[in-house]
Amino acid sequence: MSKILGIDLGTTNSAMAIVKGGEPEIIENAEGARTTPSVVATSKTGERLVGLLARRQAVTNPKNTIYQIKRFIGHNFDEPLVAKDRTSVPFETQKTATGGIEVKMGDKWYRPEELSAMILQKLKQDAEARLGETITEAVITVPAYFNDSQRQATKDAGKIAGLDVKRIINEPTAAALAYGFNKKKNEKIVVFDFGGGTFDISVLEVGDDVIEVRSTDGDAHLGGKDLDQKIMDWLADTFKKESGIDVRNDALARQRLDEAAEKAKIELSSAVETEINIPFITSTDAGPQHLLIKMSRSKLEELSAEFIDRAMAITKRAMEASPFKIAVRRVCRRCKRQSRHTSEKSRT
Amino acid sequence: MNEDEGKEDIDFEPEDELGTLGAAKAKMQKLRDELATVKKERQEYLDGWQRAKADAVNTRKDLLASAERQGARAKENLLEDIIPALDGFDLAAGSSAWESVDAGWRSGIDQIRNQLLDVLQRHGVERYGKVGEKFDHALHEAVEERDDMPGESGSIIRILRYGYKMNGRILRPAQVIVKK
Repeated sequence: MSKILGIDLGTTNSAMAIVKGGEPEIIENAEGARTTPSVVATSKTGERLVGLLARRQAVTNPKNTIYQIKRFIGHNFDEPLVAKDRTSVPFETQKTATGGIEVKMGDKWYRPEELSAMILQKLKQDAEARLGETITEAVITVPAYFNDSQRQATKDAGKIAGLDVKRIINEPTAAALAYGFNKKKNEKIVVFDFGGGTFDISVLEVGDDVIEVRSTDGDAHLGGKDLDQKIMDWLADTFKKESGIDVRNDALARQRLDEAAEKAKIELSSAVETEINIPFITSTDAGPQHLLIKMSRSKLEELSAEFIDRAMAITKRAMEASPFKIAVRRVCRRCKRQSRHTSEKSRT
Repeated sequence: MNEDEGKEDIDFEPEDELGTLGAAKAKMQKLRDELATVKKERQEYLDGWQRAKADAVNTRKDLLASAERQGARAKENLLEDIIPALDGFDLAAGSSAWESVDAGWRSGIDQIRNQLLDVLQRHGVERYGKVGEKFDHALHEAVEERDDMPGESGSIIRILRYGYKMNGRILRPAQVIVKK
């Protein structure tokens, strides 16, 4: 019997796993990474690129590099949220005859499910190469708030990619299963999914053989990337106060600050203090300038407070919308790559 | 299974009840059925044993491959952490103030950098990235696209950070500015 591929088709990144000896195991992609950027592109030479390679050339080819397609899948062109998202992307979109959305990549127009299919196809191929066998079946996770149209479009994407989609599973349900919450009956769980760019909260009830979603809420534009940006700005401001130089105008300095911010966030999950060390961040007439700043966990908590407060308010709203009283027995946190290392506060 | 145990498995009817041909046939049928069951069970056990044997071979192969991959991954992680320190050397040498540093100090620092690069090279790490090269998404990451510097369209006009690869795997792509 061939293996069934489990796919987390994310807004920013996607991941895949198989069950081996009863345990889920993440499969690395062709580039050796555990996550694949959910990015598709037609390069300047007309080559189809998916994942990391597509992302690397995005700056030089923004009109033909499609990202965050999950925001459009199964939606109509005129929906208010879609209209807002359409204005923030550099690629072209148009309304189809049936009111749906099409995205231009290269000189062709594609439906969101066709573009998602390209990501799924890459995952399928990479998994096949890794496992040395053909994969024909898959389960794909979707946010709990996805409606029938969005679920069907995701299923269609799988079909286009050559996969028989055995099941579409709610992301919080998959998280609960991964944490083994299905073993104990009659539990009520809150799944706090603080992703790279999106935040989802779900209240689940574990019954006999089923996990039911009792309420969902979230913010489609809140995630670990906001924290990184905030840390980066704090570092740049602190450095400016000391040296009078705003390093944000320099592409390399910005890149190094961005990496250092994420690294600091990760380190502060296990340490109470970290040192951000960026030698030769810039150069002036007075000579080379180095950034050396100490950052404490309490500083991280202070910087992330506005995002955590926002997330907690949404969490409260979701719990109030559920049939249960706010007496949470356990809060489970499931994070994507960029945000797996938020402050301690976000774990409460 | 020894002979005695085999005999114990066969259920003999009392002799006086085997008098008729019909009873003998029924007995024969019963033995045939038992034989068929035993053959079926034997096949199942054989299949199970063969599957378990194949699983054991595959598990051994998987474990070896996984151990190998984990070893390589640990090495890659270490190298990925060292790369930013190498960037520091490059940025120091690329700084305008570098020329004003005492020549003895400069060559000393250069030697330390080269020593480090040699070690990495011996471990299969290759550093790459060159101004003028055509941008290649398999090797490079475009950080910016600019029109105000000389160069051919689509080519690299500045290396922000060198790329590093090991045994064909990119540890970090070269981060570059590309000519529009």
